[in-house]
Amino acid sequence: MKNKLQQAGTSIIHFFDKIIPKPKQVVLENGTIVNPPRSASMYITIALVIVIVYFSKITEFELAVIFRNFTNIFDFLNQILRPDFSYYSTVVPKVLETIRMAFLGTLVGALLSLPVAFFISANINKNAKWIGASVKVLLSLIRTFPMLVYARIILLLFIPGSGPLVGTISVTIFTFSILTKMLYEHIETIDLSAYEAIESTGVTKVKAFITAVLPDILPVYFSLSLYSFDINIRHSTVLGYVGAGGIGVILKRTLQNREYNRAGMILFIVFIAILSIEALSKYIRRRLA
Amino acid sequence: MSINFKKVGKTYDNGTVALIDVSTVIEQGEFVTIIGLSGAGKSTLLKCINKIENVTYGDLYVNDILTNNLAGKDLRTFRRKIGMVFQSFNLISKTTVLRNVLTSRVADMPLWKTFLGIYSKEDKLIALEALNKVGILEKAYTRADQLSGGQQQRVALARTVAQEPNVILADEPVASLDPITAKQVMDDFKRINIEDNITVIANMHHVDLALQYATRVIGIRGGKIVFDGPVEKVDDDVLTYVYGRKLTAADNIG
Repeated sequence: MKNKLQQAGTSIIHFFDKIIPKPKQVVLENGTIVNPPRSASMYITIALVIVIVYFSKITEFELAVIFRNFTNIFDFLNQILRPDFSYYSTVVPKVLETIRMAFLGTLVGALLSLPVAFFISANINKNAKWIGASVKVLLSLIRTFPMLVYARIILLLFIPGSGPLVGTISVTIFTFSILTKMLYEHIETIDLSAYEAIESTGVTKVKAFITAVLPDILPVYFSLSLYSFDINIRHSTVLGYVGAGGIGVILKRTLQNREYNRAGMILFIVFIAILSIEALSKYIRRRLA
Repeated sequence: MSINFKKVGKTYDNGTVALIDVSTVIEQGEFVTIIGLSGAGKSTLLKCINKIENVTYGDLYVNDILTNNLAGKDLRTFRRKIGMVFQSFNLISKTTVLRNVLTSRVADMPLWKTFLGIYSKEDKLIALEALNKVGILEKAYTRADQLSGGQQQRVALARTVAQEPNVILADEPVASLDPITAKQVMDDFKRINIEDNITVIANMHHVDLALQYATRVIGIRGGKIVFDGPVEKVDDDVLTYVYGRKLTAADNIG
């Protein structure tokens, strides 16, 4: 069986030998012959082509369709690159709403994540490891779904109608799940000697954590929270697509109505907002480090 | 505060036997050093006193209170009167010396004050007095990680003094310090022992230092107490028995 497989393997290599030319020998002045190794890039290219063909079959991707409608792209670009600046009075409040959603959601999520991360860190909570482990599994389950899914579920089941609130809650859930993970992983790597020293003076675990561990992890905690805020702003812009408030609501409407000038204005302002918040967060994070 | 071991034994979860039938009484105000090879059970003996480790069998009384089953709030109240100093100092490196010393005052503070780091004037005074006692008051507002090893151990000692304990347990307090600094730190221990009548129980690797500062020596070998008596009674035969071989001048590092 194994021999047959090997035979098949060598025959495939022989087959490729025929279609892929061997690299040419290089002869140096003193007659030394250098044999460059066979490059793998040819095999990789063939494999890639097979994969691409296979997946485009599944996704019913047709190049012809793209070519047929190619002029639409020029039309779209032509309009979207000439933003309708008079539309700003509608766009700016919605962008601010998006930022508020992202900010509040990040804040609440970050505040919730710290105590939970403390309780599930394996090096601190040695007695209830299985509780920690099950919370960790739950957190990774929550992280499996994108923010958009939570927004849709909450809208459908719990709070229909109130977009921005649903958006904020979705951001909170997402931030909580990702930040708790990053925090407990950080806590599990830190040196707990000071924590143990303070615990030995007859102090509760919570107080020992606050006095000994918190000063140590605070810069990292702020930095991670800011980074989440960064991500959340970008994610929140599409929350409106499912009706969860923010700029996504009107972005969806303008694109559906083919008001590309207005969509261009939205993208323009979102672009500026995201870039400036990113720069600010980067600056603060550098100062914290 | 008297500490009374009655036939105490300790076996770790991994099967290591650390203490076997240990019986001894330590009275308030003594300066006891525990000597013995690495792994003989010195640290375990110390850690059983403030219940960082729990005894496997036997009874351990502190102040006539059986400590075996202390837990929760009772355990915390009990631990407040027992200070501990560690070989690696165990300071919070990213904060000031004063704040490190103040952490020993946290036990009696409400949680929200702990969270906001608000310490009372009295607590600050106690902390500064403790720093003055070990001679590094001028470093009060320096970050802990900017100090030398000897200075850090003094901060750790000040932290323990500010806890106002009856007993200080010191686990290899000078093992990571140079000989001169080690002597200075031991002088601090001695001064606190005499001036404040605080019991000091210290594990020591340096036999010469151990004999120089202690009033009483406990020798441990293979988890058993093989010598327990005043420092004057420690001679070459005792040391040979505790360490399993003769100690020479070359073994003195202090």
